[in-house]
Amino acid sequence: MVPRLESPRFFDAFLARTLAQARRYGRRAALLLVVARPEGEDAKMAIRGAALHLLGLLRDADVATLQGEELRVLLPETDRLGAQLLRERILRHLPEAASLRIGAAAYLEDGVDAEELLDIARRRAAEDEGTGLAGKLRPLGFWECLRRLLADADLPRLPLSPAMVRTAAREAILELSRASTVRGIAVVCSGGADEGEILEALPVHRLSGRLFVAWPDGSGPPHPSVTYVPVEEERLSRFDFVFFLAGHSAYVVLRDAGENALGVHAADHDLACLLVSRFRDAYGLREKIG
Amino acid sequence: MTEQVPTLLVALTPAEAGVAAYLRERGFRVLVAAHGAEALDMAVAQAPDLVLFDEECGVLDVESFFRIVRANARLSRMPVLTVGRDPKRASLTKPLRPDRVVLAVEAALARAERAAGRGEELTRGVLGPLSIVDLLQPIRVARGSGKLVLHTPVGEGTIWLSEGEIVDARLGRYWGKKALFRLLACSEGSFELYPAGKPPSRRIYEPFDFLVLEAARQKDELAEQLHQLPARARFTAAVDPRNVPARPSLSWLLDKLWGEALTVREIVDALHLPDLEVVTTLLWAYRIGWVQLVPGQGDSGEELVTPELRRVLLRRLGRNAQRGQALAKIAVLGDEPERVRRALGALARCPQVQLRARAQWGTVATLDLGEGAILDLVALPGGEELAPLARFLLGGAVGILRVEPAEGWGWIASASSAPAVELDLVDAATGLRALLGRLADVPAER
Repeated sequence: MVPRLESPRFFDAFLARTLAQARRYGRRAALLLVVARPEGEDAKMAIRGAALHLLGLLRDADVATLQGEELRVLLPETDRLGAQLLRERILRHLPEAASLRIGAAAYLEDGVDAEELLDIARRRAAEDEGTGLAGKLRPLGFWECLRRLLADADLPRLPLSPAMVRTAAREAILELSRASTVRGIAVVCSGGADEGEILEALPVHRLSGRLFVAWPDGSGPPHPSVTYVPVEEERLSRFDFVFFLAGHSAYVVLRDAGENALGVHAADHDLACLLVSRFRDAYGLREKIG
Repeated sequence: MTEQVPTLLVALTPAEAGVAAYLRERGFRVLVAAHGAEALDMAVAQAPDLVLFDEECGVLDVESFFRIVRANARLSRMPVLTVGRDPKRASLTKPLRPDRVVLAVEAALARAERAAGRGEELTRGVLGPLSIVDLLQPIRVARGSGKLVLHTPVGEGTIWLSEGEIVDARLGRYWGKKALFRLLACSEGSFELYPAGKPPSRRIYEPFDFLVLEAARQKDELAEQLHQLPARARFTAAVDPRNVPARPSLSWLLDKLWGEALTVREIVDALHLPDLEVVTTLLWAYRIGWVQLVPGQGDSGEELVTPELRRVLLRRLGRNAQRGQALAKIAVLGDEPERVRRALGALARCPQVQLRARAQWGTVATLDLGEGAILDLVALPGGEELAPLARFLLGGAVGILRVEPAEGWGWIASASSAPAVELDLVDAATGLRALLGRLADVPAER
């Protein structure tokens, strides 16, 4: 069953009920607000066009409505990370993406009542210029993104040591292993040589998220929260990187292990979200959002 | 205390009774005894400054009076003028001439006062209403000499003055300024003030007023500096005293701590320097690393959290925590890596803190508060180039420990609403305890 557009009245009632359940039973919920970049009649037309395509990207349980020039989407059982990943998927797959602004807000992480969440999502949509580094890289594939990042003048290139990337990877794993950490995703690739050392930080219990580790043949020591990704030898030896994405923080560190051995890093949610999504796209690691 | 108007006790025959009235007229306070036995009673009860005793006053003879009075410690040095017929035996001969009696009385009182001036106790009492400085001030004003003997909770002490200046002090085995400043800090005990007393030697040369003000300053500053040092921890020298540039107080301190572990109190007692100088030197040597705490000491006796606070932390941070899992993290930041490193070293002295790695930044330590309440301590790297990494590490931190100076961390205010507490390099446990206390007041995680 494909989700359909509901009436605003139904949507409001459903939103109120979902938030009440989240409060009562400690569940998650997130709100996504999509607005068109041009305003006026064109905006209405643009958002209607986008809505039809967007419904195809949603889950059965998600509920959407059109209200004026806004498309509102309620995502039950979804946290801020899930909403960010959905935003990234919409921007990647929607033909009209360039003319859209998207803002997300999650229950508990951003606010607790409907008005508050709508306000925050609206503000984030207004701030969404789509012109950042992630915007420039969006049309590219994963490895092309990395090459462009290392060549892009937007981020200063620094002499980052392999040890620094290893420590960042270790910190990403520890971050996912703490109880209070809201769900996160980490992708780790450290030149194919140091994974064993990095995995020493891995606790025996489940992580509060998923860890993707680039591994020569994709068969590392089993762990319920780790997915080993068989990355090509040549690429594995060329790049060291860590991408970390969670509701409360994001980090990207990328290092060219080649001649220059320079690297870039940023605490940029959009960029981390884009790179995590592209990595999963590149290796067929699509997961359900939420 | 000697009264300004001398009290005379007269025991005379009725024929000489007029002398008493004459003496009163001359300004003396006069007690009259009817006979020798009454004179003895009154002398014992009232301890007059002088007794005028007529050999013929009856009931008690003069020899018996003398024997009994001299046997009494309180009266042994009381001047007694005898009145008799034999000039060889009596101080004054009959018939008495009132003017001569007055001259003789005044001379005897003056002699007694001079005798007291040669070391006799002038005054005694308890401290409290009168401070030690109050007691010394009259001698200072009169540019006189004397000694003040003190019986205080810190021990028996003496302060000597000469020509209005403090020239020496002694307290137990301490001499000079160390003894003086400790004594001047006392406000309880009793004292005896002697208007004379030659000091054994002169060890103090500073002016009276300077010493009094300095004692007050040292008392305040000492209290403040002691507050920065863990009272129960033991310190030991981290460098060989022979390799340290000569500076008397420092080399004495390091000599004392070379191969020996002492508490702050033991160190202060062991060195013959004013207490503040010892503590200042210790604090300085500790901060630059020449003196270190003996591992495993610190505040080991004190729990960082109460059971109730632990329960609150577990409820707020660890709803879904599994066994051995850290509940959350606390960020540690500061501008100077060396000071941050030392702060972590200070934290590691808490038995609940386990250092995890030698790394400069990242998860450097784990704080185990017991019953599954575990927190990670994450050091943030400084410098503009590593700011993105610092933001990543700060994300999700439930508390912040600041090691001053932390000027470069202005952006923290906008990036994190976690409560922040300043971490002292010496007594890190107090800062940590304060932060944990504040975590319990923070609303539940959003």
